[in-house]
Amino acid sequence: MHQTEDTYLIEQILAGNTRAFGDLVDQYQVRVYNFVLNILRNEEDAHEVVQDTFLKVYKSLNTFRGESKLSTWMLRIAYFACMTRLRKVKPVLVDIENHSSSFEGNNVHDQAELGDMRSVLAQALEGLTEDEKGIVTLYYYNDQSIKEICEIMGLKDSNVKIILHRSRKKMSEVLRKVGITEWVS
Amino acid sequence: MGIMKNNEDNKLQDDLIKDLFRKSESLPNRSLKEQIMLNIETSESSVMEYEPVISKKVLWIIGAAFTSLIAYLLLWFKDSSGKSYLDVQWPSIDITFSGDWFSKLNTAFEGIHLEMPELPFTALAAILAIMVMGFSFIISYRMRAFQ
Repeated sequence: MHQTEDTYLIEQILAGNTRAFGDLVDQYQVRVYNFVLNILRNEEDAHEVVQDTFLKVYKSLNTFRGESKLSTWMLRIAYFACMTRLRKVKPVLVDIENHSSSFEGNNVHDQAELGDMRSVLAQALEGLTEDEKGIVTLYYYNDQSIKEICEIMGLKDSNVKIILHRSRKKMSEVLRKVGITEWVS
Repeated sequence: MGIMKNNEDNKLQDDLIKDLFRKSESLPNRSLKEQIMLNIETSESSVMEYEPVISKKVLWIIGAAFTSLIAYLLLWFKDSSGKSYLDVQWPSIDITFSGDWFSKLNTAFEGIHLEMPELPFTALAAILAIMVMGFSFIISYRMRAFQ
């Protein structure tokens, strides 16, 4: 989403237009949800944390100074919400790779392929720490730059690069083990 | 040559992982947005607005009554023996620059006597009632603050 559109939405929300906040949720919920889900590895917790994140975004939108992208700011809130959740409760891992969302189609092949992909991703993320999961998701899924990842997680540039390199290595190893060297699609 | 190969490998790994994330994207429940909007509505409606237990008007009346009572007791009230709270015999103050200032001040204020006359029951009851109301107001305010 363009920054000007974000600015327009923020202005509308601050003027009391709750429908504009609904548009903001539509724009970002999937990205925030996947980021949170990849860290927590639990759907129920992820839904709750995403709700908390958007509520916090709504309440503190007037403090957003526009120095970073809105997505970066939101992901930072989501990251800290994840950390709070992880400190509070011991994560209960569920079989998310076989989860079929109510959004998705009924095509059996699609579902099977999706299940396989999620299973591979779950295996690849399994050996990573929470910080590593956060960084790889931000980098590969949320398309955040190293600088933005530093802002979100409050880490130094060099640390992020090291963690990213280490995580890439770990994930590639898992992919090699399960026999994936390239996608056929 | 080795570095180039390494960079190529990294690029391949990056693309592979990026694809993996993209293809295994999960979608949240349809109800997530509704739940978020509901949370926002609830949070907006449950914003606590401080509403004092005793209105400002009543507080002013209590304050005025209390001040009048104190003023009456101090300035006009006399008990059965004719004693009042403040028995003031205004002294003449020596303002010349010579002499001992401490003893001058002492002399100036020794005319003021504060004595406790006997209060009628109604005045005591009034003071007690005002004190009870004041305490209950402070307690109720604190209780609301902790809720």
